[in-house]
Amino acid sequence: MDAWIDAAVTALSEVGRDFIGCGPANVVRKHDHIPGDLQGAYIPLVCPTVSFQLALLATSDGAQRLAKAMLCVPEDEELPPADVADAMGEIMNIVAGMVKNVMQPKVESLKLGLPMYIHGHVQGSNGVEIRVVDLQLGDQATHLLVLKQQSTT
Amino acid sequence: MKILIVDDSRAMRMIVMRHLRQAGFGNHTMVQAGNGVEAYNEIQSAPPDIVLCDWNMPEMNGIELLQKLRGEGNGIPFGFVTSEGSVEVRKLAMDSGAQFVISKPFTAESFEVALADHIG
Repeated sequence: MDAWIDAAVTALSEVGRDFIGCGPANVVRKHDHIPGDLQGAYIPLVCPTVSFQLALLATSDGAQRLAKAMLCVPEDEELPPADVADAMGEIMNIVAGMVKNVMQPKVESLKLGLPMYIHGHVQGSNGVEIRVVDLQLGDQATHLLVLKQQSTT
Repeated sequence: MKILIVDDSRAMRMIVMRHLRQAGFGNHTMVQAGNGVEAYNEIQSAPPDIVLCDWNMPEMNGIELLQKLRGEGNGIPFGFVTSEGSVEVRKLAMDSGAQFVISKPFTAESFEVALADHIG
């Protein structure tokens, strides 16, 4: 799990610094409590033996700021929710692709899914391993969520 | 020249167009499609000069689009712009008839280098 988290943090830092332009990711805290009242983009990375969900969570305002930075939209313009979801989803699409490149040699048949944007609290269930990394992406507080579920087959 | 940008993310299509302008291709016409089916229909009805295509998309993904085009004898210049940057994906792309693969995150230079042989 640590290798996946490290790969995701490194990828998000590079994307934040070089692609979004908001600055690198700085880790504030690591824990296993999924924060509530947030929204974010989730994307699956799956193989026959294990499934991962990677997610980038932020407040409504935070997601707006990240999306605007990515799309080079002025601060005083409001993006519609669909555009925020789209931009955040694309951030995680890129991050997950970079994670896949790092982890592919270690995990057979790793496949990348399509992102989904979710508002609200995600409940972990039995058998799901949870890790949360509280990050500053530039000056924006965000949370990287990594959920891991081992296959039972 | 006309460039067709194919990605299910409108945000990414806008970012690709911005990078194309930064790379010096701003004087070319840019058109968009949201998935492989839309792109195929656009290619049939109003053929572009080059296609820049995402890999993972609903309806019809990028590799399915490319394989369909090449299977019909359509040799339109075609490149991927994708977060799927593994060796296996690149090999499949090139074996299927793509001219180049640009990995996300990209720079304007990525497009400058990849498109130099295909766009004046």
